Amino acid sequence: MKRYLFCLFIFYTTVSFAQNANYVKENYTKIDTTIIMRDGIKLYTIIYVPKDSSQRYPILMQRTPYSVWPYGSSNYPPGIMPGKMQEEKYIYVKQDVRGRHMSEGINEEVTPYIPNKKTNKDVDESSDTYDTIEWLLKFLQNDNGRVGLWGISYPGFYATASLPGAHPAIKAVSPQAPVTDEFAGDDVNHNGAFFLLDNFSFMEGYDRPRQGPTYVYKVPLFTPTNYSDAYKFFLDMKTIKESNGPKYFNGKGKYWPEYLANDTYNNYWRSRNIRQYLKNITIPTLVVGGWFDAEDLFGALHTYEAIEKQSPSNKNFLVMGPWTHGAWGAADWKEFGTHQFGANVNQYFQDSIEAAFFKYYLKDKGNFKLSEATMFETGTNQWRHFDQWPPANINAMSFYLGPNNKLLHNKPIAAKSFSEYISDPAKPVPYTNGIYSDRNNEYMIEDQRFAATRPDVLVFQSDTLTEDMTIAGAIIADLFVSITGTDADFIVKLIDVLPENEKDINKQPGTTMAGMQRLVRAEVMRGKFRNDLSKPIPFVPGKVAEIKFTLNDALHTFKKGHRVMIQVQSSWFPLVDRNPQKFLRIPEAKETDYQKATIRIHHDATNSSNIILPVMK
Amino acid sequence: MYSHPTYDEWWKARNARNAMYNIKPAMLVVGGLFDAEDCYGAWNLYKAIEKQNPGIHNKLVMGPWSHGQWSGRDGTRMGNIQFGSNTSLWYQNNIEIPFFNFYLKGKGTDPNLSEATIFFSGENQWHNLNQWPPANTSNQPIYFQPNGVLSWNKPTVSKSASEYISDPAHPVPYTEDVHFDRTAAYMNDDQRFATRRTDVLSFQTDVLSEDLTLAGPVVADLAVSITGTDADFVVKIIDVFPDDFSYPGSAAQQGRAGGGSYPMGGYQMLVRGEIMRGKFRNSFETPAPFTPNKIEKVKFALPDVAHTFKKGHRLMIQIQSSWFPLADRNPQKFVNIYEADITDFKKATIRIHHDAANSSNIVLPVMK
Repeated sequence: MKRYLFCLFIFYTTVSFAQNANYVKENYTKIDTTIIMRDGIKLYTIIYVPKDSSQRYPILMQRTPYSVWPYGSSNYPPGIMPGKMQEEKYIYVKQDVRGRHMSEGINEEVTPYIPNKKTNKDVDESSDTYDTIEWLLKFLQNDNGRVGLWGISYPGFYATASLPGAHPAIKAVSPQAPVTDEFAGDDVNHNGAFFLLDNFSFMEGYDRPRQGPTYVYKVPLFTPTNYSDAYKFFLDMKTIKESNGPKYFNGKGKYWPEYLANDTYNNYWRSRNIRQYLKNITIPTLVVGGWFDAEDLFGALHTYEAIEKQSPSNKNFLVMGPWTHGAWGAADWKEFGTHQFGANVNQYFQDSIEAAFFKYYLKDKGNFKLSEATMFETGTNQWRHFDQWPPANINAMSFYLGPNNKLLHNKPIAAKSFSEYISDPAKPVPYTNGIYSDRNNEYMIEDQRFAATRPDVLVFQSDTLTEDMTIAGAIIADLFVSITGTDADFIVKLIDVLPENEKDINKQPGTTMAGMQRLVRAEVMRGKFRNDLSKPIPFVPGKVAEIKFTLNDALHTFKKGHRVMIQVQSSWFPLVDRNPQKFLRIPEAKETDYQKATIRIHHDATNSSNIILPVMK
Repeated sequence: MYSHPTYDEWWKARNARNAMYNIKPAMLVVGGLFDAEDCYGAWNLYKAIEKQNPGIHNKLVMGPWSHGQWSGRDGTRMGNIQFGSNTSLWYQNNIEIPFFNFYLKGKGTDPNLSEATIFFSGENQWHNLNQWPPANTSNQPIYFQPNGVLSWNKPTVSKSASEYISDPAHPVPYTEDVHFDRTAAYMNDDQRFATRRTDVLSFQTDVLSEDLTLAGPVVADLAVSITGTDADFVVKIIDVFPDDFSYPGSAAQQGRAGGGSYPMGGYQMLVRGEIMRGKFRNSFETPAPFTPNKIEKVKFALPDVAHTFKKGHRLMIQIQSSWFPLADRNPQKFVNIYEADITDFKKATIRIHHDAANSSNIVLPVMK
């Protein structure tokens, strides 16, 4: 619940609405209505029509599961859109999606797309968007016949979902941090590892039941939690099974039991992977994401990639900035944690990219000469423009893990060499330093020295770089491991080690810059899924197995004088639930199934664990 | 210093207590409960003078202070812990100034200081006591049990131990975060960063149903076995705050990055920590190696404590074998550490036994 409210709070407080609190009321007429879908279900929809009727306007629509608030024709919000967008004037439409808040019907988790619809009962987000647009075009008096869709996070998914089987009036779509594949890399699981902290706190609110349409979900499923230390709370929970027991969801929610029931990449998740349907798209798309987005970084990168590969001639743009989840909607974004960007990167994005995109494709106004990929380079803190992503001039360079904490350019030659640690589920490695109730939003750029001091975290570090090294694209971890259990998690962290003379920029705890081990990118692989997310297989204790997986893209410069560091660990708690280190269905694991294991990372001539970085030439 | 790795004549000649005979001046010994440097000194200088000069004017004042904090203006807090009043100004106005005024200027009346004016953290109250440690204390052992339990009952099982691997390449930090200098606040810092580590053992009581006040020295009485020939033993006395604890008027709890005050719910406040270098367990003069895997006693006193564990809190004891870089690393091999090579530093398994015969315990000075 906390996070659910938190998201709404952030949106309505940080989005840069116009200075005048009455701006919306003075400039738009608000219409609350319901629109009937092909199967008879009514969706609650709010339409903001510009009062200036001297011209025709395109429709810009957002569909959301988080409420179109405020309800009632006489209740106006402080703003509709960030930045200059609402001054630009569109007919803004917001709709509660099927089964959420004031709309009828049943909500499905990331509604599966139905490619071959046979009857009026075959409905999905594409058909609901289609039916809504049909109705709007008939109802509205001064529209220009064009529709754009946008949304951040879950609404980003609904924007993507309008693309297959799109209504012909849709002329521009901007999926932003779109929820895309919740088993492979977004929100719920990354490579099959369950993101416990975020999902439990989110679903505590989101999975509340309703008896038909409602403004707010008042009735909790269980006594609301009130913990200040998430690490302790989830450790005390002992098992995932207990989360679905009498104290918590108790099998009564909809989504939570579905998450636990679907612990492999089965049809439930496959049918929800919208990427497979992004074929032959002919609608210009602006895909937006944040390098520090803890929820849908994967979604932004892979929605762009899926459209690019499967609709190669489409006008498909990618923008990746130095943002947390949805931070590009804030009025101001000059710094984040110990990163300082030198300028308000949001103004550039909102005015020169987002507003310009919709204006051009929906109003035929202005010039829109955006590069294929507009990417913020961390480390040097500058926007860079590419004509393809990842860029062509890349050299995939292996960095080998070696003995004595070394990260080496040369493949090891020793016949036998490994580093090892004991991974104890009773004392999992924290994902962040300090005490937090909700996920620490800065964990993706946090100083990893708190982890490096632990005996259950391996550290491999390069020599000091003699020249700048820029990486652009996906990072591949190629580990050769042996374990004493039959399953284990592997977390690989790519870290930029700042020089010992780096100056502090502030004096907050945890921000000492000299020697800081600043996280650039990290990812988890649940070992049993190493070969196939659909088919988990156990490890043979003591036998070397290869674990090869991809970390999300980065565009980062390791500057001269810095070092490259890799850390490897087998827990990341409570961001990710604990692996019992025994091959079984983790949602069914008992407390006694969680066992200590010794984890070896091999670095010999045959089993040469390495990290492949996309180094720009 | 490097040429005197044991408690030899060089160190003994420098033990100021040896000279505390025939003291004539009125004495006022002052120290801080959370003084990282000379907490031991204040308690033990007072005790030496008292023992060696019966009947003289020798008074003790201990407040909830870091090193010298009593001479500053703000004695309302140290680190994250609040004391409910300005303890340093109170000390200056009510003890220090009247003491010197009377004895040096003949001004005012005899302040009639209590023998011991001691601030008890936890309950945040000054106590005026007529002896230290107070008469109404009794030494009560509290025992380690399996599964991290701390209990007044002696274990009855025939074989039971908790263990960890102590790796000198990954010593347990003495404090969270990155600091260049030793922090003052480590003496009452939140120990949750240590609890989460695989090389720290934690034992805790149930939630206390009534206040528990400790007044005096704490004795750690450990039964250990190790795979090396030397090891350090750090014992930490911790006050575990209730999960819903917050100081009045503090901002909403949301971590440090959230800009709120430090999250005090579930805080693990270090009340007292002390280290014993294992080879000195029987004698500071004559270090002795351990026999690997043989159970041996490591018994030592921690500096005095004046603290109330409030009803609703828990008492926790943590054991670890490094406290870095506050204390240098023990190679875990019996050598002159000042001469140790990098290759002498070895991982070792440390076992703390808690069975009927080998009942590791902490003797607490419980005040009635």
